[in-house]
Amino acid sequence: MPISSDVYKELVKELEDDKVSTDELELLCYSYDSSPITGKPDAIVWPETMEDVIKIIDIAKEKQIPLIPRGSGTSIEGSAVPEKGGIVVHMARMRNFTVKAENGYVKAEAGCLVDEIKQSAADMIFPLATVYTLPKTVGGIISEEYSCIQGLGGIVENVERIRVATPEKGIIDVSRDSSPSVRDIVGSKGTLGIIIDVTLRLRNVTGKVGFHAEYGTVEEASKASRLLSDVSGIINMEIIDQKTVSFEYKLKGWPEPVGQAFIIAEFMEDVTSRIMEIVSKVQPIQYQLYEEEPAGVWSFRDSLFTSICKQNKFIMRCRVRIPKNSLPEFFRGVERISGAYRLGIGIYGNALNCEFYPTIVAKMEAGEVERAIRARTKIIDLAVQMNGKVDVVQRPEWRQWIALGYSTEDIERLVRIKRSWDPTGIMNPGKV
Amino acid sequence: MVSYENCKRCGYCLYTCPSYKALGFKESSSPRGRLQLLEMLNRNVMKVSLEYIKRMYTCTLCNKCGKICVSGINVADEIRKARIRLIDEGYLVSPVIDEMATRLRNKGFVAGEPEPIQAKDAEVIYYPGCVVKNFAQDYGKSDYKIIASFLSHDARTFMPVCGGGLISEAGYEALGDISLRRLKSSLENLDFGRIVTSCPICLVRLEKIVGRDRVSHMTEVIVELEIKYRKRFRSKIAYFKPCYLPDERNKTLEMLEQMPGVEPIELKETGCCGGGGGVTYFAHEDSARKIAELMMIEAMSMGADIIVAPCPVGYLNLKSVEGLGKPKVLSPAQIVEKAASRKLLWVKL
Repeated sequence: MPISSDVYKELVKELEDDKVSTDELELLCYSYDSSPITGKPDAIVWPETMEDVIKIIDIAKEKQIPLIPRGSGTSIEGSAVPEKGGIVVHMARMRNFTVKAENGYVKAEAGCLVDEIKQSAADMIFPLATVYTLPKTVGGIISEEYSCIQGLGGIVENVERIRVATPEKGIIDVSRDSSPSVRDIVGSKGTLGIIIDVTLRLRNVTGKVGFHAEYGTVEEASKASRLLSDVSGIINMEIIDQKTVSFEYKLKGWPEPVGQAFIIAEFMEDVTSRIMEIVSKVQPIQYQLYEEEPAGVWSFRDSLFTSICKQNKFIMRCRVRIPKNSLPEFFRGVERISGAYRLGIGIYGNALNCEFYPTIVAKMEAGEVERAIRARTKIIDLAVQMNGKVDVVQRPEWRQWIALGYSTEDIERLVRIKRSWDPTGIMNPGKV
Repeated sequence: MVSYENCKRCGYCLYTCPSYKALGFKESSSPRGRLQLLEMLNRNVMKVSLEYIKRMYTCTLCNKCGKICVSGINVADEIRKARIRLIDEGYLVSPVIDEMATRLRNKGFVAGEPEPIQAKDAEVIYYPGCVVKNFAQDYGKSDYKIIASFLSHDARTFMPVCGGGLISEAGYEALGDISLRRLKSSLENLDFGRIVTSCPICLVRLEKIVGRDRVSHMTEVIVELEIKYRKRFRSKIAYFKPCYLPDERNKTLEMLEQMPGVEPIELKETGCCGGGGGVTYFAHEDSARKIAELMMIEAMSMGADIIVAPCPVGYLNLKSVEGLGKPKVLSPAQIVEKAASRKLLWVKL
């Protein structure tokens, strides 16, 4: 439902003309993100300061208008898309950051690009930097709890503080030790408030060795990844299935990969001998060590997404987290879904926290999109099943959370915080 | 050719786009947003509107997005096609551009008085292009001075008719083709060695007519001349790669490296002057200026004294945001004028 002219005028009065739009064309452009979910907002606002955010929340709260925070709109779960109309709060103009390399931290507004911070931080490793960060924002990565450099502790361990604007409690500063804490905000998908800025840790870490291996079966890769994850100084590790790798090989004109699964890993200590022990225990078809340029191991991974996209007219992704020991079962389950729906599905993701991105590909022939939507649902159901919560799913909107490894206790805690911070439920409604 | 329907909405293109950054980070001014508009138009979710037309013309066609697109979409080409469709369907796209098209159709030039510049046979011909001829005569004067002083005293300026480059990029493809044919026939009876131009769009179109070997960009000529420069000319000069000038024809960096006191600085972050080959500059001057402002800010942050503009549209657009305390905007030839150790000929154009 369009916002009333009174609300529009009030927004313009408080924020200035250029920070508000109800232009139809603009609203259509904000009705999507990187997911298959669409939903048209009633207005867009572009706050430039914390004060702007507070004014937006005050107006929305008074008029009970939903608010949907948005970074770069790259959510693959529809987090940046309104379910029930409302105002999209596009944080892109809040992008100031200060790197204090000597103290080991960076303070960044929610709209800052992770890549820009990465470049400014020089030799320090910015743990929020996943392999593929472009064009993710700090606020987006935290709201979605995107997989990052897990070997350095994941997002929660590397976020010192988060400042959030909430409808009921105003501006709240959370730390790792406060209650609610950083842990509660991370992954909350904009359902609790609007992230203003974040203080993040930087680490003085240099990779010493990279490892890339091709395994005959998913079981072998899974076993090897479990052993490798215990090696000290692991920075990050990913597993990629044959289907996904085959896109890369095809683009390069190489023959089809033989291995069913591939591992890429980087370590910050010289653990070559330990890696070789694991190689002898679980023998890969082939492997390569990157000792001169450890970070070069990721160049293969960097081009994967491009390979998939260049060769397929249509892709649909989802994101799941599964228990480590369920990895082979999950891969087989996805393979069955792929066969059942006659669609290609590739899987790649972080082997340390087992967060995977099953990617459905299609040529856009008749009926494929509908089958893809159903296949995606099945994959999420599979993850829910593996996380062991099938019988306690109380609400459909919780499925996605459980598929991401949230327990019902986690979700109930999120709901309790939401009742305190956003009792009337204007923050990204329908998402929890 | 990969079409807009292949857009995966991944968002990788967003922050490569000068108009997205300059125009307030509005999705509709991003490459992803523009492609979605094309799709929605195609699916009849929306109709052509003034706002839609504006989005198609505030894109500078720099194609930085296309180079990074994971699906391999040449976004600039998709926007070009969208512009052609708009013109073919009879839409008026911009008062200035539409007026230019009318003038070109009737008088052979997009602006100013239709004063063809005819030339006699000459070894070197200078082709200014419409932008230099009508809006940046100082740019052309400096070009000609260099040519006359160092290359050929008998050089002639020649512009019998507009080659239609700018108007073609604006979507008037058929009219652009007619203009190109007119230019071709006017060159047929002329005996010349080579043509020199500073206009990238003119360069590409002249290449089609006379062949690559017989047309040069002004920076190529300057480098080729190996001019002697004063060591006392010291400056930090920022340079960028104009969107319409093929990399292999752009010798700006080589030119700067020939000057002993000059420190070249590449403007990588913005990399787009906002002129859009003239289309964005003339259709939406305010948007073009905002993009130029970003480039100016980057140049200032890098301590540049001068920004060199090897494209007349870029020159005009950057000049519009020049000011006290900001780097000066100069053409390659104007820099040579300042830096050359030899006095240049006085010329009357």
